[in-house]
Amino acid sequence: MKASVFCIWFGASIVSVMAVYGAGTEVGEGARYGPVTAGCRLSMSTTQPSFRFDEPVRVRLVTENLSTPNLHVSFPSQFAFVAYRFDISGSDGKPVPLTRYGQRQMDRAGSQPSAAVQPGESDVLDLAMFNRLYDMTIAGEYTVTAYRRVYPPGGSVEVQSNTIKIIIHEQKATSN
Amino acid sequence: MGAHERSVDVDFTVARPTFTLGSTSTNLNPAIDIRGGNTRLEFGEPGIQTDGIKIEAVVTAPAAGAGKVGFIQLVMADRRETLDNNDNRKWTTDEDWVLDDSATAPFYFAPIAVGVGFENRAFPYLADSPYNPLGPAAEVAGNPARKASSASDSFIAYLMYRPGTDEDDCIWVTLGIVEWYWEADATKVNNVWGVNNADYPDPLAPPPGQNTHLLPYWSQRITAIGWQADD
Repeated sequence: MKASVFCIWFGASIVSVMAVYGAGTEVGEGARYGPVTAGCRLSMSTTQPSFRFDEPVRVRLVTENLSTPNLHVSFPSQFAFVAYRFDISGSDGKPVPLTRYGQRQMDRAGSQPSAAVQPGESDVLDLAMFNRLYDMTIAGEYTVTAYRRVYPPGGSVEVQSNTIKIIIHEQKATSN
Repeated sequence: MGAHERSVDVDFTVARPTFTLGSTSTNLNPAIDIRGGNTRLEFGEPGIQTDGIKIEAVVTAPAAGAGKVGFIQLVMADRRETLDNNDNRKWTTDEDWVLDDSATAPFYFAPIAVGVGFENRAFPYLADSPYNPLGPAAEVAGNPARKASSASDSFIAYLMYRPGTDEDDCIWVTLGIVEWYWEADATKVNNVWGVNNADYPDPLAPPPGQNTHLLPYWSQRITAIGWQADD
């Protein structure tokens, strides 16, 4: 599988991918991907199942095109937060708000680069500090689902990821 | 002591890549519309022949001229909006050219390799569908809705070339440019958005490539721009 991989620290520089993704407690039947939609699927994972409150929460999003020729995505591997929509709730079940930084990103205007992802290819985005975008300052269990609009020929459709739980600890974090 | 004047004539042979450079404008009708479930005022939409603009080049390197090619895009942006609370806001580069930023900055996409000769030519491209957000203003307290939005942007896409490898002491030079723009304004009446005016490159006469050696110059990156009060 051909995959273009960038690790993005918002507002800073590109760094090489050092972290190992694939963690995050799955919700539901343990699916690593969301449902196949328009011949593609979206996966979300973290580098570890839980994080200390002051650690960066690293999230990887993989959009995999299984079968649709000339499927397009916007913001390919770039400042792509705005290309995604997240449902995130805390331990109390209430929606978790964006941070001021996250709000600024959501309100961005400007260009919208796009690129084709051919069958067998993936577009990979690493968010190096997800908790800079959403307020995860309170310890507890967060449930997160991502959505991304993709553009098969003739229209657009939103693809849903698997749902993961991210645990924030006050003190010591567990790791893989 | 008398001054001595010396002069020398030097002839340089510049082995420049050959290239074609052009663009296509979206085939969507209307080209500029309210899209994304009333969340964007958008020129085109990502996809085959639906991108607002797609700039494409074919570059053939000369002998010993293998290297890389890519696009750098500058933008002069002026976006305005009015919120339901009647606050006016602007998102503008103040008539200055700034870098259209990305994770591969200064390049729009990561540069690609070009080998020597026709069979090793490269096909760099740039696809863009600029938009204004129309949803609730996330950054404003109370997240008020928007009720008017406008855009008036100019762009220059630079096709850049650099011979050699990343380790070689070579510089990027410009091969050509494509200039393009989009303008639009939309308002929300009875909770329904509508486009009032729209202007964009004619699909039947899209912006042509221009041969130039002028280098791109920018004062800052577009990601440094944010919405601010428009008093």
